[in-house]
Amino acid sequence: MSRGQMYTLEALLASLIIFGVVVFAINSSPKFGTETKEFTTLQLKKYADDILEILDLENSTHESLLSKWIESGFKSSTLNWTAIELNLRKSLGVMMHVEVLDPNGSLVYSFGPPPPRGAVSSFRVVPVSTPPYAYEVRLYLWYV
Amino acid sequence: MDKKGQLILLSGILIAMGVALVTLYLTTASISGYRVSYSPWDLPYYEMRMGVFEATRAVKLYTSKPTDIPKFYRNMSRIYARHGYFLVVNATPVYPYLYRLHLVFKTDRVYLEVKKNVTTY
Repeated sequence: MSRGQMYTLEALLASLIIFGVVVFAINSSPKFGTETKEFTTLQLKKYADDILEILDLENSTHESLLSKWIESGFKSSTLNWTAIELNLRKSLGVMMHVEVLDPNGSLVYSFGPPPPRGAVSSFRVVPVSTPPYAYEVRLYLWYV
Repeated sequence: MDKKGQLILLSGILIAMGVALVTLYLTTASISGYRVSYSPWDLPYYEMRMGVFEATRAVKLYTSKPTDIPKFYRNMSRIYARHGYFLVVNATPVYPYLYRLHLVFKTDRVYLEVKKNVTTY
């Protein structure tokens, strides 16, 4: 084998090793998509927590909008979920689904399209003055 | 074999190993950054805060019929259990218009115990 051929072969081997390492480096670098997904989930959870917390703010008689709404038999004149949904969709691009469950887990009220897989949920325990005394309001949020 | 070629090959290998090590270091650093910045968010702050808030509120809400307080707490525990949280609340009257609240909240990562006095006002 001539000297020139040896140089070519060595250069080829070196470049192959460097190429292999670059491929390895690209594959093992952090995937930022995962972090973005995590952040989106956290953001939606925070939205859901805040919405429920605001709707459950205690007034001077220790009731809240949510407890009054449940006690009224889910009247839209007490709490208008349609307006909340429209607002969320327009301002944040977020869809919602709300459910009210009794302590046994039976569904007593639901509003909005069924939540897709991956929708983020939050819940609120709402005290009411009549049995069963506690209801669960569950809110699902997801991006359009 | 050519000596110059061997040197080129050796330096190529060294550079490659260096790049690999730097990549591994950066990956580890970025993952630890993720752990440090996001893992506290996994703690159920909202659920803990809500537990204390609703338990306190129940004492005030059911002041005209205090026998409803334990009924509410029992159902509250059941709702929390459905979400994988252990919550037990107890309120005992210690003085007229004053209750002693005892709340225990547990998950696999958190143990929270709250003891506080709550007025019925």
